[in-house]
Amino acid sequence: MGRQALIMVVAYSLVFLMTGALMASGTVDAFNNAMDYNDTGTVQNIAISGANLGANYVFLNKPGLAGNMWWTGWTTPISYNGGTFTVRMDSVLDMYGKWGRLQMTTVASYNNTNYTVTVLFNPSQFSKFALYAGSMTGVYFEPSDSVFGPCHIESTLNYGNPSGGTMTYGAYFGGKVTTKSGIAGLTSPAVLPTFAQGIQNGVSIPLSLNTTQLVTEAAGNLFSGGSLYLTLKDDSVSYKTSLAGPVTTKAISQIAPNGVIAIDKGTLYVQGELSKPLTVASLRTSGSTGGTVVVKDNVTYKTDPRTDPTCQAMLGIVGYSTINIDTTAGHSSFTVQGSMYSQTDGVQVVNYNTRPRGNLYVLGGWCGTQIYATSNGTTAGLPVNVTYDERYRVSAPPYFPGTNTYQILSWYE
Amino acid sequence: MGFSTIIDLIGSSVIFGWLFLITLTAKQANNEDLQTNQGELLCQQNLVELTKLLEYDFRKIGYCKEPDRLPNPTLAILLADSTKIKFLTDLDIDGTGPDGIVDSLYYYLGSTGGMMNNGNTRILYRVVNNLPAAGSNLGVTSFKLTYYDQANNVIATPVPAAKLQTIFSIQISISVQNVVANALAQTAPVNQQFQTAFYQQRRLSTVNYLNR
Repeated sequence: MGRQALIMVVAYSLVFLMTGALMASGTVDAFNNAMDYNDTGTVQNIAISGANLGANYVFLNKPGLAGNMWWTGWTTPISYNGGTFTVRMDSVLDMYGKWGRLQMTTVASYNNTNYTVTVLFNPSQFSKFALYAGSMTGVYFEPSDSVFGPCHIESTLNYGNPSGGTMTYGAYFGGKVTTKSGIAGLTSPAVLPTFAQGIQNGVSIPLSLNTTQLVTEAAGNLFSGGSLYLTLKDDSVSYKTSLAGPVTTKAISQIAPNGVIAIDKGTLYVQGELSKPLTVASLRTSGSTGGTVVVKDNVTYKTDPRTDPTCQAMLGIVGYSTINIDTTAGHSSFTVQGSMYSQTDGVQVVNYNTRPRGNLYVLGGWCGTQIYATSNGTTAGLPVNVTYDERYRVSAPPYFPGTNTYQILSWYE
Repeated sequence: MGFSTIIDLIGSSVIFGWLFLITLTAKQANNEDLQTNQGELLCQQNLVELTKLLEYDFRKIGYCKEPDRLPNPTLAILLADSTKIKFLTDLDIDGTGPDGIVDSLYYYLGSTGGMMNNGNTRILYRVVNNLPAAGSNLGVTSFKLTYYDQANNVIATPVPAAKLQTIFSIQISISVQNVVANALAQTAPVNQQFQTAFYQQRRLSTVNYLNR
């Protein structure tokens, strides 16, 4: 009797022990599952934090730009939130074989788990803006205006209605907008614009023309004083230095091996059709004359980059002073395909108040200290239609003026 | 003697029967608890794996190893609805990392009447580059996407093509149930018990989407 009872007790104990063990293992598995998710989340957060800290260092110190020292990163593990991270910087090529991009690799470790974040930076150039204005004194965006691409105003963004206007909608900004000093209505009434991708105030990006670099890249083909008449002919350029002077034609690869044609202390006249990357510049290294660009006639690409993904043509028109859109008897509308940059003035339409009415079609963008009226609003001039060249979000014409800072192209984790 | 033996026998039988019933009841209760725990564990594991995959993919909306091939990442979202989304990205197809070729990824929720025991579950399909749909039954019963613009306003779904570029953040809500009910209560449908787990992520970080 006693032995049987003992056997029964042992048997029951075994049964309950096994059951308890099975239940406990289920609980442990659930706990492990939760800890696994927690560990993954924590190591991810450490890596992202490290990448953000590294990106902040790059933005503040701009390694490799404007003479700044190169930065190798933080190769010694840095303790953070119970784990560690390291940051490594490399210089990488783009898909066209050009240097200039930075790759930052952040590796975090936590509880024997690793996580990597890779960030790609590119020097930022002013061609990335569909519209850049240093000042909008006396000028405002009205309801018929629209900008489809990044826009920056290095002062206050003004908006308003034309005199007597009864619009119920405001200007439309399809891309991200940044301003230095916020927005303001200049008329009453004034309908608030639509900022489809948001607006960020308090951002300052002053114009910056690296004349020395352009002079260097133009090298032996830097023209000096007087005038330079350029006619773009796909992969060649015809040029003369006076209106009645002899014309010389050379391949772009010959006259501008670095992609820059420039004139110093003179006036640049440009027109034609382009099939290669090129920047044409009118500079003023000293003195008080020169630096003006005149667009004599249409400047277009051989193929439209919006429909031809193989289009390599990218034009930068850089002027120290004014960029004038000239008049021509051939047609009233003008087409400028390229990104325009004026360091001390802006883009002006010659005789905007009296010339025959047409349109100014721009594929690219324009940057200038000042925005000017391009038409009288009703009967004369060239109302503007700017279409942003999407390639300029990641690329730029050769040696186009840079903002002296980096932008993030991609973030991989 | 004989009478006491009979009493012993009767008593033993009663005690044995009583102990037997206790054992059976304990065993049944333990089985049910085990199944419940295992079901919950399975549910949680399924949810964790699913959210890991979703976060991994959604963080790469608009990403391409060669940014020149996708210069405007705000055009990456091709379709946005409450239970489906299609976007451009650069996937690691062969395990060696992104290849710089733009890929498309399409998530959508299948219909109810899922496989296994739980008719509420639906398959969450993940379609890569318009290849035949592939999905696994992880017990998803609800997959909801909510889109917000920069001003934190909800964008009505399906999001029209003209408004796709105004998407600023995405909220993901997922509900997962056990694909098999507790064995003890399989008298469908009233008494079936399914474990449920819920996940919601507001403002999923899409760092590549608005970085240019």
